[in-house]
Amino acid sequence: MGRPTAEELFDRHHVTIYRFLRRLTGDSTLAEDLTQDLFVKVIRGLETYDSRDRDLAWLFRIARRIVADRRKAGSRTPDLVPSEEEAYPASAPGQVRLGLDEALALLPETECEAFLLREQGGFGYEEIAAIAGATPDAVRNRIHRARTTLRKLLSAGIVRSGITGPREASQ
Amino acid sequence: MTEDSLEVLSAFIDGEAANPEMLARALAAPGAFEALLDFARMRFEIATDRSRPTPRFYTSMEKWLSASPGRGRRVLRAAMLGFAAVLLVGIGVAAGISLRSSTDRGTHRLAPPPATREVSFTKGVDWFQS
Repeated sequence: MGRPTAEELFDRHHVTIYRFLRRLTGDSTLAEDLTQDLFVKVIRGLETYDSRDRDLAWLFRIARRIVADRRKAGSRTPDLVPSEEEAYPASAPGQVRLGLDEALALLPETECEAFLLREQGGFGYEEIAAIAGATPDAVRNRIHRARTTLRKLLSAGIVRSGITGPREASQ
Repeated sequence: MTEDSLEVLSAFIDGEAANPEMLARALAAPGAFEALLDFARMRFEIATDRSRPTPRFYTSMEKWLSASPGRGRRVLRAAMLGFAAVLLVGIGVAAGISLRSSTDRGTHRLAPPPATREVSFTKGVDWFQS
C-alpha cells in the first residue's frame, strides 16, 4: 500500500489531532492553528513520510515537533515543559470542582502528553514511547502519574482563581 | 492503596500485560474499585469529546488542500477510472455489434440452396401401384 495523500490523511485524522492539541494546549484557537500548521507541512511535503509508523503515529510525531517549535519561538503556546518537581496546587476552602481540561492544564507536559496519546490517540505504551522518545517503562509511569494527579485534582476540587499550575504559570 | 497498586491498575486498563499476582493484590486493595471507576470516567470523557475545528479552520484548510499534489493525483485517478469505464463500455458495444453481424452472416449461410429440379405431384395418383 502506498503513501496516502495529504488530503486522505487530513480527512482521516484532522479531528483527532485537533482534539489532542486542544487538550494539550488548553486553547482551541491555538489548537486550530497548530493543526493547520501540521497539515500544511504535510501538504507541502516538508515532512518525510515514515511508512514504518501508523499514519496517526507519524502525524503525532509532527504535532509534537510543531508544539515544541512554537514554544521555542515564544508564541502564545504555554510553556509545555515544566519541571516535574513543581508543586501542584493544594486544595483550599471555597473550592470549585475542576473540569478535565482544566486539570490537564495543571499536569507537566510529559505526563499530559503520554496520557493524551493513550486516551486520545489510542496508542499502546510501545508506540507512545516511540513517539515521545521515551522508554515504555517511563511511559507507563507517566500515564500512571497523570491519572493519579488528575484523580486528585478532579475529586478534591480546587479554587480556580489564583491557581497557576506548572504550565499555566509560564503563560 | 499504594502507588505500585495504582500503577498496576493503570497499566491493566490500558491493556498492558500485568503480573497476575500483583494485579490480584492491586484489585484486592481498598480503593481499587473507585480508582478503576475514576480511570474509566476520564476515558469516557475523552472518548465522548465531540469538539471540532471551527468553519474558519476548514475554509483556510480548503485553500491548502485544493492546491495539494494529492488532489491533482485524485483528479487524475478519477479521470483514468472514467476513461477505463468508457473504454470497457466501448469494447462491450463493439463486441456486441460484432457478434450480431456474425450471427447475421450465419443466418445467410443456413438459407436453402437454390432449386436444381422441380417435382410436381398429381392428386389422386397412386405412385406405388403405377
